[in-house]
Amino acid sequence: MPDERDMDQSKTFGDISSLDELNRVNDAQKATFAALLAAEGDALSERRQSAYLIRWLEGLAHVGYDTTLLDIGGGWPVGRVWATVILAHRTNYHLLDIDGAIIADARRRLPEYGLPAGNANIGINTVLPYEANMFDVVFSSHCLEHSPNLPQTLSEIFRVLKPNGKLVFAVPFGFDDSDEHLICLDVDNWIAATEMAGFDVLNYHLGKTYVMAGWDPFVLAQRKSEQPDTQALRALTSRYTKAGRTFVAPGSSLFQYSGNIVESGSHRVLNGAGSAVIVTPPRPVDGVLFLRHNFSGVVEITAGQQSQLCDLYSHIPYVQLVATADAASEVKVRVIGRSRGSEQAVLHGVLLAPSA
Amino acid sequence: MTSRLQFTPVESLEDLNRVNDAQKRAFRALADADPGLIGRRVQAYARRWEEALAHVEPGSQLLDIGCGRISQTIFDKITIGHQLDYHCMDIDQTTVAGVRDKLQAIGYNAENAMRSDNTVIPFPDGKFDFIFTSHCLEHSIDIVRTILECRRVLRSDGKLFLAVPLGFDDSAEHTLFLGPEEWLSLLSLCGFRVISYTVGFKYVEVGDLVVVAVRDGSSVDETGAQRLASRFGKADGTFARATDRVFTFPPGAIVNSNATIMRGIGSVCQISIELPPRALVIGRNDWAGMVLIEDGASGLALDAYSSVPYLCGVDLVGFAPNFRVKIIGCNTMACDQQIAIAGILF
Repeated sequence: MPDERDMDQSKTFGDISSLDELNRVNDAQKATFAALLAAEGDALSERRQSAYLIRWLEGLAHVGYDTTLLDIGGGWPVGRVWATVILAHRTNYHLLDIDGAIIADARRRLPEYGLPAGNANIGINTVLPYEANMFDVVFSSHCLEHSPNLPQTLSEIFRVLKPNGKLVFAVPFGFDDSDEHLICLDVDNWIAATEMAGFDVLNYHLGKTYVMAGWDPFVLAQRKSEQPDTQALRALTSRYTKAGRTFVAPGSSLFQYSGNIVESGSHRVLNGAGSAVIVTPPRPVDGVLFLRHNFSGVVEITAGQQSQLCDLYSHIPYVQLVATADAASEVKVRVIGRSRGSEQAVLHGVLLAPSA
Repeated sequence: MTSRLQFTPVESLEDLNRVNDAQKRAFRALADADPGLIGRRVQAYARRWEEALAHVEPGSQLLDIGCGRISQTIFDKITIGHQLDYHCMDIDQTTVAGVRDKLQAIGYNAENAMRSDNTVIPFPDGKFDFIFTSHCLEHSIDIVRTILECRRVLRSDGKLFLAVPLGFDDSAEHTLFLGPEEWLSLLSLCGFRVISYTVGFKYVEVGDLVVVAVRDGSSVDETGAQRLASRFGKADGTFARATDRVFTFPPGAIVNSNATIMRGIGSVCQISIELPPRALVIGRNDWAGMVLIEDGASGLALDAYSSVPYLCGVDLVGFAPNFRVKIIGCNTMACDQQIAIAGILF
């Protein structure tokens, strides 16, 4: 078995356990966006704000008028969004964000919309500073995925919502190598997580109306009265977190290929039924990453005694983490056929268990 | 219920009215049996309009294809509330006359409402900012022509908002059985860029597909679109249900009202028909596993799992008349390794 020194082309993800750390990784993301904004100017800002308004209107279509609403991670106040949400829909709007400057600005402006400055608060999404059963609606766009503890965040949302209250949220899905997104659930996992957290998913759509974020699911859910299945939710999120795990790219010497293999940037394309790869890393493989798209076929993934089939065809291209159930020292991926796509699989890498 | 159905082509406005009238009669019977049905439908339809209006700027030129008897509340919301220049079309003459009265009552042009089937849109090129169409496109007698007509009358960057049913049913008025993937592909081939879609709803009774697509500079591949549409059309097809003698299921298979279910890895269903197959109709749901469909020469592996249940037509053009369906496993989300087969179209 290879040892840790053979782990070329790898990256280990950290863990986030405090508000300061969360602000640090998010500040890095915000700096990237600020640089883009400086390069593209007002046009980008305008497109973002229009897209954000559409998102709010899509959400408001399901929640209506005269509600008490909490916006988690709302970011900087946008005049036309507030006019629509607070004035046109007569919403008692509350805002929570981790950024002190945003909250200071919101507190200054809320009275202009007839609401108390105290409706804006600083906080992390794992601790909601509100009483139980306080809100009719919780809205959150691109914030839940930053949670250092998603089960706790969802349980807090469950607590502050009234029974039958609505949760409306958008999140990115799949795997990326950023430090600020520690969770890499795909769309079906997000839906399952929401249901495990005590909500009925009434509807969701996949869109790329939100500029620069790629495709994202926008979910409409309703809080049930019975208590959630927290244990199942914890099991799911622990399988799909990057925290402490190590990503290894498919060009690493840990991968041994057979069959018709094509290099495509950092990816390896396994072409034709029978093409395969065996990974024998120094630590157990917790998951295999594929770039799914509409040419992808069906693979068999064998980890230890367990084997699973996975249809990688996807209308939307994205990187999916396929969690492997058995902590195995050797994992094999083999192309076995196709459904709507062709007989191929694009390997993005593997995710290894944290070092002991 | 007989084990076979024969689909005749729906090629003219008369054919269309005939099959649609049958559907309307069936709906009236349902509504008589369930007094709350119409109210729930109206509410769901109003919500659908709300979702669509999120994408429309006030003052826009809007076309509603297959408007039906639009309620006064929704009509007022669109015209007075959102300040939209509302245009519409429908194949039913009395429906159009009713909307013309509504238009005139608020000082709009009566000619904004036109009678036509959806393959001919009686408005000039590039006129509209937005097209809304809910449960109408699937009734087209030539879906590619209909979508290209939508493209023609939309301005550049204009949006098409559409809702259509998913997959296969055995009605005569739904001439196509495109699934979500096929609808999205068809729109791309017809020069639209999809920006948002929803598969299934819990707040209306029937799960459907809702798409928002932008008419941008994307190229049109009309031949490719026609090829796709013809592979997912019922015209001249025979549909043999799973109870027909052409199916041989393993012992223990469960016969339901609309499908036969077999369970477990290795279970095989043998199918022998008189002619080459066009599509195998299976139930996709969260109990479904993965199957291999093979005729000795070619094979197709398919994950039938879906969080939204619907009947899916699996394209088998090119397969031999004798083939088998074998369960080979399931994904990690599925509740069981099973497959529900509704029938075969050939």
